[in-house]
Amino acid sequence: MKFFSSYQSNFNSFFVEIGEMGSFTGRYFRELFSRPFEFREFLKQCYQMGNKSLLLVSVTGFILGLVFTLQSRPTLMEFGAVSWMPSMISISIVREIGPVIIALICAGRIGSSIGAELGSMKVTEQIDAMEVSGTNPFKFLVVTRILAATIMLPILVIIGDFVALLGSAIIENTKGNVSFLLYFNQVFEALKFTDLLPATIKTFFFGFAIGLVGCFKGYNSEKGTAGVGKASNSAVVFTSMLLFVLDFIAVFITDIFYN
Amino acid sequence: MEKKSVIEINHIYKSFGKTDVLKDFNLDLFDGENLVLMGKSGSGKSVMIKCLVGLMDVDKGSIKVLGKDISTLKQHELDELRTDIGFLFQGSALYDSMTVRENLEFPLRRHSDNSEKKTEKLVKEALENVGLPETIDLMPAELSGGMQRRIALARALILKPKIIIYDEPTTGLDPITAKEIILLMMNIQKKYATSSLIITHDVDCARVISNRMILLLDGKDYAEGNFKDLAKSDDPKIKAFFK
Repeated sequence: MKFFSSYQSNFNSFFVEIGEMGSFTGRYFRELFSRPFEFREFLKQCYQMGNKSLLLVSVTGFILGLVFTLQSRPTLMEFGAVSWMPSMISISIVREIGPVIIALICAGRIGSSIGAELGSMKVTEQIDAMEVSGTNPFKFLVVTRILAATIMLPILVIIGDFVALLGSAIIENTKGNVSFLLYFNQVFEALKFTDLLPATIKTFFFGFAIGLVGCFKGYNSEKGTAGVGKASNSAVVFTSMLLFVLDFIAVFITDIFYN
Repeated sequence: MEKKSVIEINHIYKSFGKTDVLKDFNLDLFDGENLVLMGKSGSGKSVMIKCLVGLMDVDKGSIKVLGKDISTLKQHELDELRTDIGFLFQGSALYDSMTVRENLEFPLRRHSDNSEKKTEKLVKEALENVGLPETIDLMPAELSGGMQRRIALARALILKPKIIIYDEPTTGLDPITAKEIILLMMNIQKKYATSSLIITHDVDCARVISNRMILLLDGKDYAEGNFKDLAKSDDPKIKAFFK
């Protein structure tokens, strides 16, 4: 009985949280279009999220390209289809693996950092101090961060995808004597507008989800250092889950439109 | 001549769930005075000041600041009123991702149209007032607790507010630094002729700085008077505050 009541209470609190997040999202859109615009803070956040995640995204993308090519090569060789390597790698990275892996990396890097930063600001009364000084903390802290994440993630994904293809080209060049020119020629021949557009659009939603969940968890964190840790941790866990759900929805919609 | 109230709190009630924190609490802060509000930990002092600046809503009763009922104000009116109130938080609450300069510029950039030169001058002046001009480019994490409290005070004063609220200004500081902060508060009161509401349970601080005191007990304003009279009281509940 106790087991079921604990499950029921977790279930209830999950839906309460979803409702609160809905209202948080509504407030974001209301504040997004109202003055004053915190442009300086927005640019600062773009720099923090974009520039400071660039190395991590590049390294991840590069290794992804290397490993993916190395793992696929023997199987394609078995079927005599090794010449299909650039097409296969580019379509899988650009359509699916690149956006999802880079979004997951950014959920860890950006989502947790937003959750921890806003959580510790709440615990140390910095958010109250901002409000008491006559500044709207939601607009200054939340709107700028969500918007910056929404805009920076697609850029990071494009860079990550390119670096992944570069990693794959290096393997093809060293193992299969395929020139970089030929490799990228085949890549651009294989990629169509219908591969690029939905993949890019979904990354805006991924960025929005990372910013939204990080801000929601941090802004509503419980008091104490444990609350900050919990906010940061749950921001990553919840965002990761949400990314897969969004990815499924995006693939489903794309499938309806293009097939 | 009748004294002018800058803060009037009338019969406020506030509860969280089944716990009543404030029950029929009243307070008047007169122009130019230092009013100390003393109470035990958990007696509702911090809740009261959060209600006072509109960070929390009261369940019942009214709060007037500079003649305006805060419950009836629109958000932009409340933000404007807040520029007349300086708030020193218990833990200083400096923005830790910003330098000392940026912390002090933050309210200035939002509530004045000063030129860069004027802003710079005001920031330097505020830091000189608290005796820390050399910290201008440091991060809050590089400062001691006492220094952080002084910078927070400089930030609270930078818009030249009419009222300053101090939430436990000496808590967590060593006795020497605590005395320095009290002296600083007194100098500021003299220089800017502000009205101050000081929330504390530090008897020494209350003795030195108060013109008048209110004792908060069980969510009510239990007693009111000057330090000497209250300290001499035979009431065991009042005596407990001064032990």
